[in-house]
Amino acid sequence: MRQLLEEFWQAVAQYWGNWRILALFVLAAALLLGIKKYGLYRKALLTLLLVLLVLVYNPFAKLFWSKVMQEHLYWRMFWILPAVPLLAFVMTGVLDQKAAWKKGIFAVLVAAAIVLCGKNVYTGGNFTKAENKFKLPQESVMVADYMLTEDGETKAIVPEELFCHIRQYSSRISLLYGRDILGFTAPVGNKRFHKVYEEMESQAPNVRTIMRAAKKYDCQYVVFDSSKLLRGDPVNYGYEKKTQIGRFTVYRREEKVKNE
Amino acid sequence: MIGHLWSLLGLAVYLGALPLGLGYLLAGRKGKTGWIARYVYGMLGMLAAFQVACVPLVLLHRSLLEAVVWWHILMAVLAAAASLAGRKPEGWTGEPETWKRTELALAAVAVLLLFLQCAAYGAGTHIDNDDARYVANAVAAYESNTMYRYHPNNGTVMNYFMGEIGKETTSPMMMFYAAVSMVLRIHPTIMIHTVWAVVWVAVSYGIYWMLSVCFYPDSRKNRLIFLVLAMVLQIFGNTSIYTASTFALTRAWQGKAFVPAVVMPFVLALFLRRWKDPGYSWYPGLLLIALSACLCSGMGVYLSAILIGAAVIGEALRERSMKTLFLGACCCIPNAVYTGLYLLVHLVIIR
Repeated sequence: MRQLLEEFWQAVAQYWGNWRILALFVLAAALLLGIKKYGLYRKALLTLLLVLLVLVYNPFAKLFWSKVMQEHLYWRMFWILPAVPLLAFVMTGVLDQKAAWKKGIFAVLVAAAIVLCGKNVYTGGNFTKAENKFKLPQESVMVADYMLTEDGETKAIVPEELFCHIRQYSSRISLLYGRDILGFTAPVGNKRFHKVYEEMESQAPNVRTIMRAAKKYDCQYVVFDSSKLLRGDPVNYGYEKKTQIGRFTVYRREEKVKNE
Repeated sequence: MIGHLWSLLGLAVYLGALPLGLGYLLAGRKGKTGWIARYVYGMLGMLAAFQVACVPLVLLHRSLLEAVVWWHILMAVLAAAASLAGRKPEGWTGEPETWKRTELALAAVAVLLLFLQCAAYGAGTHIDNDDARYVANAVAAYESNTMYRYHPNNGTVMNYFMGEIGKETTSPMMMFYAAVSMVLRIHPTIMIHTVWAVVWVAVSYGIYWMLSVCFYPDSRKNRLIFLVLAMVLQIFGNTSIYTASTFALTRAWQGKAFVPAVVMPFVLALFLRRWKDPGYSWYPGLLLIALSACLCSGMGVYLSAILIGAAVIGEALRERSMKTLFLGACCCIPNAVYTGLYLLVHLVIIR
């Protein structure tokens, strides 16, 4: 029982982030319960809250839902809790005063409660200025553009900083591996791909390992992070340094072109 | 030049005239419905029609173009059915009043806050690596006229719905984006990161406005205060990276963000309308939101069913009516069907 409670509390804490906002929500629910002036919808909101508490938000329900869905995703259950509508409804009621001075005091209190308990979504680096109309990092757009201009349809090995973005720009660029190498979408089973990824992300990539795999799997391009010290020269494997885009160096396989 | 004109015209039609027109039929044709509610209903109608059209085609490995054609056919069927059913006005608008100075000031604040939240998506970027799957799927579909045939992360041809792609086969929100992009000839990444993000923020607050109409049918001032407070609470709701507000305001285009931003307030709005007026037929709305939620994400299938279930149980308890419980449960049939299909894909087809 104690473990159940602890796990439930952990999920609650994980979702709400701080106790102040949770306390504000509990206070709003208590006000709704205690003050009858909220009228017809007081009972509606309390009934819905009660049903959700029984069905979803308690340690036993968590145990059940954790078995139905992935356990570590239980926090998403809080997405269906009508927290913002309930808080806004209660706060509107609090502000609905006849005397102007009371209204003023409550307005200040409500604003202070929201600001002190919450956290602004537009701070903390959530948003940066858009670099292009695709809303992708400009370097990834330029690298992709370069490859497409040269080859139309192609395949590449790129560093982690680029592999999440390249295929959002164009699906005509295939990658030896993308975010799947990190276990997302459909985990990569090929051990050689993992070895290549490890070398690509290391501080001193082993060029031999990377370029041999690039050749074997027909990757026309290999893009290196130029801040890293390469152990070996890609030129020795039939690749030519074509361009430098930001901090990325683009190598292109020339043999294939000659053969054609 | 002609391409640009087509895209602009398409934007006006698919993000303006079409949802308003469909909403006009779905939410009631007389004056009391309000254009905001009509727009919301219309958008949900577009999503619901796409869900019904697209899932079988995805499972049959058909092209995106076929999905586009069937989507339009089903929207026409939906419009015809709504037209024949002759829905009563939904009453999502307050009584007309003359505007007072305080109300004008509050309206200005609400518009400013909405503008700022939309501008963050318009001029700013929130990079989210989950897009390596979501958006890349839409781009691959748009560029190849296929649906889920290429691995979004690396581009290899998929002979079956690999890994997490299985979830998207029954919740093909990204194909919806690709379909609209195909018609409008605008790259899906531009549409998703800018246009759709702004549309969902606007739709979300449209639903909050509908909620305010429920709460305060006779007071425009309180409706506006409620809306402003909801916006401020959303903006200051980033207390963790998991909160509903964080998802709604940083990655609104992703299907999972649709649940807290649209599904939750919409079900609540229907519940409150029904609570006030037990004669109000909330079932078409519940069915519409269930289908839309199924389109948006795998979590949407579960979470919308749980929330609709909770609302229906609450209402059935109040009315002491088994009929309400039964009809409400019927509105979750899409959720059961798509869960079944998902399990079929996972347990049978890919094995």
